[in-house]
Amino acid sequence: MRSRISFFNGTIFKKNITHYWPVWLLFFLFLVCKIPVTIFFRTSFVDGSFTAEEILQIKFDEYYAVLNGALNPTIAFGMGVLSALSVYYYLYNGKSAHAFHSFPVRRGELFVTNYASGFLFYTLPLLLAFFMGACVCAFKGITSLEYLLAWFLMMEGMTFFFYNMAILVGMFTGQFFVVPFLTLILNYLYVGCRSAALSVMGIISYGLNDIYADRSVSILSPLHFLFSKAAFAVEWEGDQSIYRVIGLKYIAIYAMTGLIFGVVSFFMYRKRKIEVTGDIFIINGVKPLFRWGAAGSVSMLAATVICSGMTITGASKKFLALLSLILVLGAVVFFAAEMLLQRKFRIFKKKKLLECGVYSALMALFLLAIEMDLFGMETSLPDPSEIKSAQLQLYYPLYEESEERIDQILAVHRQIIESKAEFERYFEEDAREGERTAYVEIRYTLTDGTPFIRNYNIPVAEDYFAKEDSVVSRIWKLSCDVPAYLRGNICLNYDEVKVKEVIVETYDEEMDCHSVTVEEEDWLKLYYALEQDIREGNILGRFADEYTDEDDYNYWNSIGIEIYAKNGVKELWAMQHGEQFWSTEANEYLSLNRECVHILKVLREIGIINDSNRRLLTTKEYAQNSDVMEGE
Amino acid sequence: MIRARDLKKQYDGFAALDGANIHVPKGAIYGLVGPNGAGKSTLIRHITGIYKPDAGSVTIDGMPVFENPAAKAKFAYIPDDLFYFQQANTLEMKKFYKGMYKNFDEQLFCKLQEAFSVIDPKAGIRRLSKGMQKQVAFWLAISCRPEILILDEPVDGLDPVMRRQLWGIIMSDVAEHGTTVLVSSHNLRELEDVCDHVGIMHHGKVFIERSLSELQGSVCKIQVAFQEGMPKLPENFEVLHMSSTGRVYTLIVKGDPSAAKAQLEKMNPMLIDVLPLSLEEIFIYELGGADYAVSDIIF
Repeated sequence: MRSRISFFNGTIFKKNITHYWPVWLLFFLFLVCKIPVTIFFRTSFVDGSFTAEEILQIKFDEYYAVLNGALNPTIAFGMGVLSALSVYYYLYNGKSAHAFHSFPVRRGELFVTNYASGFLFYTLPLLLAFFMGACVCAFKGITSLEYLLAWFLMMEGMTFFFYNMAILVGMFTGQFFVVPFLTLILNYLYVGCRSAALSVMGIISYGLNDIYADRSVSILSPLHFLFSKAAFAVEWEGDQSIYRVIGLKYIAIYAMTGLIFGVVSFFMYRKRKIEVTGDIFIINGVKPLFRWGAAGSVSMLAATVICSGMTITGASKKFLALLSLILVLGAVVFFAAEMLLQRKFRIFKKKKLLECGVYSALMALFLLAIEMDLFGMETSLPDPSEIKSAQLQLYYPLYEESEERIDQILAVHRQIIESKAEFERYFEEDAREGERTAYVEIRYTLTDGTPFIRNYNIPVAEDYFAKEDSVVSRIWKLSCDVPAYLRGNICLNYDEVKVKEVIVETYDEEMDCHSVTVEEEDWLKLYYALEQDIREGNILGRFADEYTDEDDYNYWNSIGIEIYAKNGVKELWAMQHGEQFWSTEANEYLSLNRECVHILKVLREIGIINDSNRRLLTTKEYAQNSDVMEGE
Repeated sequence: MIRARDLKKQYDGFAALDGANIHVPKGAIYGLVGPNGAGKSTLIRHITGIYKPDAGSVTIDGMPVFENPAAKAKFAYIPDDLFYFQQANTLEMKKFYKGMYKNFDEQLFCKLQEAFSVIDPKAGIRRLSKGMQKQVAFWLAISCRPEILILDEPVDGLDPVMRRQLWGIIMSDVAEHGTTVLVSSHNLRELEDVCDHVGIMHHGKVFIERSLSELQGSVCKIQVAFQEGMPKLPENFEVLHMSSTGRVYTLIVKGDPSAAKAQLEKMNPMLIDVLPLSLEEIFIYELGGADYAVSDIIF
């Protein structure tokens, strides 16, 4: 005879709530401090000199800032993991695991009761903090409670996800301390593995250095992802602030995933073997994954760190050094992982030695494949029809969206790839004395939003400049383009902006700095001069060996331009950081050098600069004079 | 009452249970003995539904135990390694047990307080001595009014006075309520005075399982002396062991003791005496020839 199926046990629930009161009480007190108390105090001391409307706005801004401060993925992670550990602690100790599973309750009942208890550990404090916060808001006249509700939902969603993730991790292990550790590792597993692989590729592959970019697939590293995606953001549009809650969509996805984790955990719990309590991994299939994963990731990261600290020239020498380090470190970590799994030192059995041999052979093959570019990553280029925009950074961020200009960038890129042997030879000769190299980044944004990034060191020695079809010459020519220069140095919608003010910082004989305003009637003259200097490549400057105080070529001063655009100033850097909202006003600065002859001539003609009390200073001159000023 | 059939359990290739069979009749006090590592605790954890067998079945009153609260509600289990909640006292544990076991008898719990008078029910259990912690376990288990008490090494590590006291409590419960008891031990002497059924485990199997009377009726010790040395014994006379001191021979004989005595009397002995065998001696002589660590059970 089977007993009736029940999924809740009041005795265990009561035990959980009463035994683990410090967990939920401390979280509740923390939230009370973070939400109602902080809202109350930060909105209590508004200066009486403001109008009633202004006071309400200030109070709202404070309230909004409090919510942003209290939206913390780390707290959600900590509380989620702590709640899971509290209610399922008995699974990680032989005595308690045996006791609980000998009681007349089904495993399903145990799981659901504990799950509900842990869920309440963080949900009740969040809910109470929400209601208390709402009361304080009502008392203070703040009516926009939808933001408080959004905070509650986001914190609840994040904590729910981490709670379920920790429970699921707990189903794979029989060790208490492995749960938080492994949950944290899993939260960074994707970005960690990707970084490790890219670090290796950066050393042994051509063009694959420093190409990490957060992609949508970074959602696989939740804690890392939520740090950048969940926030209460404020954008400014003139005097108006725009309040935007970001990340709700992603948190909803995580919460749904959390629910799936919970369901999977439920079924895993019913099959859980109690006899393996105390083992690091209780599911045998995970053990080789752990050995191989630990050996691969740790050895790759450690080897790249060691290699970066070593002065090795030559691609083949670098590869050999990296290969040896990765194989040796990999074997060490492989056996260390096995020692952890077996909890003993004597693990050198024939089977494991063989497995380590297979691992090392596969790793060596993988590295060889990268070195020989068997995956075609070095030579791959995106299909032109799939490119939304291309950006080539050498002199400035050369950003292009037109098909023709994208093709030109692709052509340069292709030439860099084809010049691999030549460039590597150049660098193996240790960048011949006095001759220079420069770093080129080429970044394509594909139509689906995926970034495609490559980086190269290219020779920029005089003899390369002298050749018209050299890479550096072709980039120089591409850069002598007025629209491209304005897009990269002012903003993408430069043709929509209105200039509000142009100023030039100058120095007098006493080395006092003065901002001199360029009169509106002179703006056009200055613009034409700028166009000429761009077309002639004067403004692009030269490649310095390094940035030093001895630079007597580039000016310390720059031209400042205050601009306005009705629909926002779309700056390239902001767009690349995922900004969707644009300020209507911005200040842009143009650097000058001694070769900007047209600009300098106009500035002299209109009386902005002279040789006496309105001087431009090179970096070297500025450094010398600032020493004098410090001496005084 | 309890029946396990052909139970198998493997840990990393090691057979902890290798086709174990056990039958504990209702009302029996069943002693499960075996050397360390024989598989006693593993078998008990299967019987209590903690472990799921790789093969075979465990039933209590015909009901499968694993994932069956109805079957689990019939027993109270005292493991060798006791578990109590952090900082819990006896009264808090009582509340918990009362919630978990429908038959928990609060009056009996209060009545038993006299027997466990040395224990302060408001004191944290983990602060009590090991012996007192065991007493608390018995107190709680008996108060659950179980039909079966399953005890894994119940008095291991306790002093003789404490052992006697705990056995006294168990025996009185058995006498009053007819409780079935399954008790494991690696020490045969411990069980000799209390058990009416015995099972011996070795290498994951229950080697022998018999009632005590059956065992005692099947082997006997006979001291016999003849005028002119030991005559040739009949062929059906199964002697497990024979030793002599002068003309006095001590025979351990398998079979019915009275029949054996009658056969020897026909040979006109000078003296003949049939002596009872201790459980310990029975197992030594019964199993002495097997690949079996008898000494581990007895000493």
